[in-house]
Amino acid sequence: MSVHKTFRIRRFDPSNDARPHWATYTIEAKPKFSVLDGLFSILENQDGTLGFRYSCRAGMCGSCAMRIDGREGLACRVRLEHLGATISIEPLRSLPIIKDLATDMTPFFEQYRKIDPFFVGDSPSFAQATPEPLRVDPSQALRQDVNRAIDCISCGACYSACPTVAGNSAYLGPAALNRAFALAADERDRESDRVALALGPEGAYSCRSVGNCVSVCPAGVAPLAAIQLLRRGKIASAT
Amino acid sequence: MRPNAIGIAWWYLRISGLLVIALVGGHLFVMHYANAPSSTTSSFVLVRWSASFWRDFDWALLLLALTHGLLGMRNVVADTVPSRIGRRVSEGILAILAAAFLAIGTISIVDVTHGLQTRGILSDAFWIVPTLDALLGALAVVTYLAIAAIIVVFLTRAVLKLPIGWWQLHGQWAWALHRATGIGIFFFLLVHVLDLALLPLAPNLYDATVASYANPFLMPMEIALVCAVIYHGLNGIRLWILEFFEKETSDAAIGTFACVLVVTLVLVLPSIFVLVHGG
Repeated sequence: MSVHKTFRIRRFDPSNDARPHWATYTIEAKPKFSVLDGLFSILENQDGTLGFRYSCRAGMCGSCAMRIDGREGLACRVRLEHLGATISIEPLRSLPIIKDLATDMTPFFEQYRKIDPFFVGDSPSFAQATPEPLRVDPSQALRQDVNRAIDCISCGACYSACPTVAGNSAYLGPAALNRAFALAADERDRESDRVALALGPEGAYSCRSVGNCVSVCPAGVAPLAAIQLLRRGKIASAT
Repeated sequence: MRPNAIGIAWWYLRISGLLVIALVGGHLFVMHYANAPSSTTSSFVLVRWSASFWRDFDWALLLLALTHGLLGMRNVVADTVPSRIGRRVSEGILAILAAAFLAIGTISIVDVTHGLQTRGILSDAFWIVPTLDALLGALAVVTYLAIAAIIVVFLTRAVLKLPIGWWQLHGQWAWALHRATGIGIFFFLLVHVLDLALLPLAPNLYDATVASYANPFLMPMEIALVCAVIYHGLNGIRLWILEFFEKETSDAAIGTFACVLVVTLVLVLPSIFVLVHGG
């Protein structure tokens, strides 16, 4: 049985609009419809100019992150049946708007890139001290923290929900710091600048422990926990 | 890895916070629970400061609270001032303010050890009382207007059915309240150091200033001050728990925040009773 749902969408086209405005659409929502399905329904049947981004439709790519009733989430994973009759949809915060709900992720990935978000192997001291292949004990406490941190899908939800990012664009942000921890906690990694940057002026010590990043993360990652471990020195490459 | 300046500042903020909680607990009990603030006259302070323990206690509180507040305000500047030059200038002003007020507070405490006189060199400068009253009044007006504006914004959004964004997240409230109470306490501390400076300079005017605490317009501010100090302290303990003893920090954060709010309200009630009946 289908029900009617009203979408209030924060729309903005920088090339035409002076400021953002709310546009209202009512759709017929079928059972198990997600917010993304609702947006497609509007795009196909009511307004072909609506802008939004998506890719996998399975909660894995993070492309469709937006604010749903004020809270960051993935449009493909939030079902309309769990929301009220009127649903407010806004683009992510702290990012330039390309059009409507599609944001320019450049500032987010610029911060991400700064911490070298990739594994750098062949640590000379580690290679000398440890014969290959390395045996990693999965029950090791630090390894379990790393396991959780690597589930990040880089959707930008935490970046949008972080009030520190909103006030200080130089701050690395929860996602970059979470990634920095995941790599710094790997004893095989030889990248030392990453730790210095993560603990520098715009790094982990600039986090105010608000915890919005943990509340909104659609992948169940706790960036704040990773930041706390960074601050407490629970990192392999710093020891 | 060698600790850097920002790391040391972060650790100092955490450790000084714990020490301030211990000291401010004693200060709050004496000044807001055992006595009404308006009855803490110059003779009351003289009797108290005749014991070196209380002088050392209050000086340690002044030192720790000012430096803790300075670092807290530095964080506020870092989060709100976009330009590097603006940050540096703001940090410089804050540091000068903290150093000046630490000096004023220290001189006040040390000078009183020579015995409180009935008159000081500023005893005839009667303009000081209305000026300090005006400063406290301005702080009160800003606070009342800010609270009214917040209520209007939330009511408007509720009427227009607009989303409240991150204000639906407990962490946002815990952080915003921590920051608002911290800023309020810091500026109150500066005004408080100024009125303490009257003890050696104009004890007669000090008593007139303290009496103004019973002013009905300022009474809600006194309740708010006690509330702010208790909340800020309890939320500081909550941050310690989350940052050093909890790994998940999600469910625990909601539960501990609720505890902080409830305990704050419970602890502030006796001080309201003392204020209303003794003020």
